[in-house]
Amino acid sequence: MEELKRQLKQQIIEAINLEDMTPEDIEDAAPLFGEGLGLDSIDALELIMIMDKNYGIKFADKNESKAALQSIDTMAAYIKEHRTK
Amino acid sequence: MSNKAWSGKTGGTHWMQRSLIMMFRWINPMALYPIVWIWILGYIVVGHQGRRGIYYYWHHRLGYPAVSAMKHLYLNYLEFGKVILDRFAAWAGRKISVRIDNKEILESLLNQPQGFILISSHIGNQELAGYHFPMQKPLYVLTYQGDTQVVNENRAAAFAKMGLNIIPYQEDGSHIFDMHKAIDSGNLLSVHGDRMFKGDRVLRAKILGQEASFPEGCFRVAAMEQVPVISLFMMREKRDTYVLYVKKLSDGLCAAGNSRQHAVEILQSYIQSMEWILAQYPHQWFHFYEFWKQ
Repeated sequence: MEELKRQLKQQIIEAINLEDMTPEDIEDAAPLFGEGLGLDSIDALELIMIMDKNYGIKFADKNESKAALQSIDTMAAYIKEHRTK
Repeated sequence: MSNKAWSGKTGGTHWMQRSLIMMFRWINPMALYPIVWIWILGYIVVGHQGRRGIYYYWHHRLGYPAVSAMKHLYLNYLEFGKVILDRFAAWAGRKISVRIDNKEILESLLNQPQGFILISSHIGNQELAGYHFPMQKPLYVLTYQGDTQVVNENRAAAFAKMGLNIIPYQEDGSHIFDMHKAIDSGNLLSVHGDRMFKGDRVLRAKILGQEASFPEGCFRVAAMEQVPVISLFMMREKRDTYVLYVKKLSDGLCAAGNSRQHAVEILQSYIQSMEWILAQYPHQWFHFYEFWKQ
């Protein structure tokens, strides 16, 4: 699980181009949107693409994606349960 | 410098808008042209922001002398009046003749299993483009819902009749998920490339020789989805006759993790496409706000 979280953080940093950040700078439980990492709806689509392309996960509706993409912890838990690759 | 977001509302009261639709069931919109010639003058006098925006376009960007720019400003508004009348006439059930330029591009894309993205602008009669699009696949249209009740009702009815699907613009950005679902399911997605809303992230790029802001969202979505992207302009030729211009902006090929750069490339192609169509139809860009100063 820890390796998955580190991998996720690296993928987010690359996709969203957070040049000054390292995986260690992102807390597992911190919110990714708003006051946490400060991501917005465009970044949310980057996360959705990460989930799709790297883990074979397609969200059925936006509420499900909102819940899954709250933090690194929620993303990792969702991936563990739903990944197809 | 104005930083107000464009309200995006169609002018006129509910009563006037409903009357127009009723009237066009019986008479040709051309019968109202003499009224439009005078009505437009009032619009120009009252609409400071729109007038400044269009004058800037003609005088500072296209380089027309002041007096000539004023004349073209009037013709620009006049063309807008005709386009609006045509839109109400379409809601009243009137037919127009449409020729599709580069039809083979459209047919080739429609025959592929994957979806694609259509980027249009406030150029020509973009709403009529939707009503005359070859509907071989479901088409989803990102739509601003802040217009008047009459316009929203008639637009919804026309969309339903055509089998078009509305994705309402949401201030929290959640419409991006619906845009993704539409494309991911192999459908078509139509977005505006020149409309900004308050709080939108922007991409800056030169158009007609000066830097302006464009909404980052639609270009980033186009880049991330890695599907073909085309520009679509429905241009008014003469009464009841339009040409739908199709140009391919991207094949959808993008290196992984490089959507930002690919979005800029799509934007550059889109701007070239806009400049190309504006060179042919300079009076049909209806940006009634200070586009270069937003």
